[in-house]
Amino acid sequence: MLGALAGGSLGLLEGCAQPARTPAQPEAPEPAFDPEVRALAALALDAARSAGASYADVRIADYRTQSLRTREARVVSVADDTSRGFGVRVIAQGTWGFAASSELTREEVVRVARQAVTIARTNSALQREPVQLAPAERHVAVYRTPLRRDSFQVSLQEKLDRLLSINALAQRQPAVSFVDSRMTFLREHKFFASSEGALIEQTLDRLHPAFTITSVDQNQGGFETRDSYTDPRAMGYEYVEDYPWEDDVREAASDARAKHAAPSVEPGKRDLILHPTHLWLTIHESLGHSTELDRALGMEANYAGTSFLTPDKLGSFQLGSELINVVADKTAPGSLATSGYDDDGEATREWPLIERGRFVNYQLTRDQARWVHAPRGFACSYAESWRDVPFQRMPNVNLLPGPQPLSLAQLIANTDDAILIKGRSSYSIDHQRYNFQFSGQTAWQVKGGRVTGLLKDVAYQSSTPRFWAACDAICSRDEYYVGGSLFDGKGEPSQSNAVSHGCCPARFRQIDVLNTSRKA
Amino acid sequence: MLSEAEGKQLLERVLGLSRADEAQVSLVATESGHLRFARNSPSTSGHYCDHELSLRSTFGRKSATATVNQLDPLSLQELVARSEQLAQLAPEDPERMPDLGPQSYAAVNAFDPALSSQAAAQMVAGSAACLDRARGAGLVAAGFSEASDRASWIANRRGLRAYHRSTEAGFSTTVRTARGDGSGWASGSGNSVKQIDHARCAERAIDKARRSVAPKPLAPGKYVTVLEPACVASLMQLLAFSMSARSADEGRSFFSEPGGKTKLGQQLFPESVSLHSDPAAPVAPGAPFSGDGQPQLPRAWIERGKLQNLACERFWAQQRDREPVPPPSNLIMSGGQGSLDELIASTERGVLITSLWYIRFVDPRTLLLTGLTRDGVFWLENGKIAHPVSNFRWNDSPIRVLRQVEAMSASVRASPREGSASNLWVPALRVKEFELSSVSDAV
Repeated sequence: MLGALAGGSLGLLEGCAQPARTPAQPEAPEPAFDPEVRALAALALDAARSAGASYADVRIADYRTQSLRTREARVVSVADDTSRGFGVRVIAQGTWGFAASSELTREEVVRVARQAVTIARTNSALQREPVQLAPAERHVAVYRTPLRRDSFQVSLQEKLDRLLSINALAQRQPAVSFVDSRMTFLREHKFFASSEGALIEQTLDRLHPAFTITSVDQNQGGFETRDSYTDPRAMGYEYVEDYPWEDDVREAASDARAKHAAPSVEPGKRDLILHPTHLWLTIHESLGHSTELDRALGMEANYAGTSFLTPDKLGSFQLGSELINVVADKTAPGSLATSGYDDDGEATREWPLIERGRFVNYQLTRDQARWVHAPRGFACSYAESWRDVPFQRMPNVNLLPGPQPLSLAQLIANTDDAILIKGRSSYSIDHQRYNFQFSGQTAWQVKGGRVTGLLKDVAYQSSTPRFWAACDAICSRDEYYVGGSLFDGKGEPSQSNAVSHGCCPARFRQIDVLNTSRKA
Repeated sequence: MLSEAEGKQLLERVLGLSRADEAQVSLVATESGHLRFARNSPSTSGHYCDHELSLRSTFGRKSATATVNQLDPLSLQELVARSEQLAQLAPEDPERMPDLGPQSYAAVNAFDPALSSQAAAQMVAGSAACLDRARGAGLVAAGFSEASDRASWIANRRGLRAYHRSTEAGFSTTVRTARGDGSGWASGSGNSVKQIDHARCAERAIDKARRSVAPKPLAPGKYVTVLEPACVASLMQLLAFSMSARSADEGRSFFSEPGGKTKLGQQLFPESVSLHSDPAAPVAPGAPFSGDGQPQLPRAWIERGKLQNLACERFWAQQRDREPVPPPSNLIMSGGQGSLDELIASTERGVLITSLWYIRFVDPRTLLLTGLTRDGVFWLENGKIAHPVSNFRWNDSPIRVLRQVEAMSASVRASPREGSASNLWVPALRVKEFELSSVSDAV
């Protein structure tokens, strides 16, 4: 389930233009880990084993978040947060246990490790089948998000100047009433050690700059907005530097203004051309979540939900047209879920989920592999912070480009009557990932092979298998774009996972379009 | 968990280190445990202790906030240095308001001193009660039990001192048939685990799971609908979230009117509709102060159908010569008489909805929302559940729902199914129509 924050991009960006297949960095013989951190980790593992754990791992991690918010000529807030602590996860008597603390002392590490074992032992009274871990290779390694410019080394002044210049430009555009802009920078630095000998240090950087322009019609009492087409990325400040802010601000202001007078959509079955700034979210909700094994097994039945893709459908269910090829991936540079290793200590990789429309694989972790008779996990374990339990989280799930050369311009030229939707707006899907409803930042009428103008009040509804079966065209690789979110929520207590989805513009035939205007 | 005095000393130490013109420091200490289960067995569980120590430093009209979770002397020095460094780099904020002086706060009783020592065993026992019943019925249960102890402090140079400690517990379960063709959900919440009737939750979820098998077709459309309290909690939380005075004044809210006016004072709903907040309400207590230290006072948001208040930040209140109004820390909706069962019994024909899911705004101009029904949708006939119907996508707004209220049950404590707030006191509602937009195949 996606949180209600994040945004939709104009162009292709370096590192995100192709569905990459870069493997995790080669492992060095023995990286120079911080000896103090390593000693605390060893202490935790020893304490857990001594207390009776058959398996234990520990993550000692620190997180930094910088958030800047502005509106018009004003800096609304400057916030800089750090959080440091450790979590110990164990299996004892066939049951998971987990405990965590922000107090990084030897005494507390031992206490917390023992507490994790106590929790596991207590809960084992209710356990019916013992937890089993699929085999995993032992890794001793270091990984870092590839980046050109470290966001945390960029001065506050430079960042605020950028935001205020976006606002100033927006305010110079006709009919712009308000503009707010923001930047979030995140750094996740964690050391993982397990009782199987893994020692892994990772530093993951992510950022998300965005703006929203509002145009108010004071006479009629209406207002229209348009968000930037930016997306969060696992990159450095180069994303901010390379983004075409001026173009997007001018276009957004023009869109917000034009929406006031745009015709309200006629509901009914319509062909849709979905721009990748919008389509990534439809992929996320309908294909990303339905192929999660924990949902399919009922592990998320009480909160995030289950999946219509039950294990009996694995390998045989036709989920969409033969154009649909979807891969899961945790290695593409720039994508949010990319890391060298997951929070089980497994090396990340790429694997197919859907081939020629057929459902062929789940997303899964080590402790789930046996449920589908898989020899190993796919490195999908992740915890939002040191104090959260790692569990199966979505990798980057990407729709592969179409096989034939096809640009967006050509796709539009080949389409007689359709609606082109760009950017993310409202999104909702049921708890088994069938019925969904989406809308975009802008919707454009396509008539006779060209874009003729804006429409408003547009949303579309469909059911996942019906929608993907209706896909009859996907643009080719040079239109590939990566969108994503920092706030994919799942689990109880709910945890956020950052995830990207690469795709090209695609066309869907005869989808139900509804008109969302209502009397206030 | 830090004692009240230890927390106060820590805040005073931070203020003592500060060289800024103004400094406001806040601390939240949390100890929280949980137990999850699924497929009739525990899945993950955990426990953590954490702190969040924030300092907002202000030089003139320049300010910034830094936060750490380490409380050692070096970390405190780093906190002060980072907060002050960022504040000095920040541009002047023309809307910067001086920190508040001493305030008085409502006495709120939301703390169970036994929770920290008893919650772990109580959560296991409560979950076992649910699992035993589901297994015994040949059904499959998933669920979540959580208990937390949280203390909050605020202190500043101008003499404001605030402290509040509360405990909270929640339980929810989804029970499904083994074939996956029926599903029911129920939840409970309180300020201690003891306040939750786990067995009752399990029985309600089991009953709904059994009853929901083999739904009969119902065409999408607008129907008389009974929304259970969890549904109403979801809608009221989103309504409260939208009640901003500044957005209304700026013309970018449902509550705006042409010409820079607002709907404040208008009779928007039937007289039966009243929505209040009061942190001291024993049925669902809330924090006695907002994040910036403003007192949470008893407040009417909607009084007998009339819009009485919109949340108003301090700067905007000063600009408009109004009282500042922080967003509410709890919600109390006046209910009717009788139970949910009695409300159902008084319904001739209509749809009964257990919970709402994946709710998102579609149009902020009308507060149009979309979402799904989940884990128990039934057709009511002559005051009884006649048969199950499928799940639906719906498109409707809390405004229209409140305008369409026909009858209410007595209010009960309820939590929105999405989100973490557990201190809403709301009734079940029967509304003249609720727009079911399309069928969902999900069970």
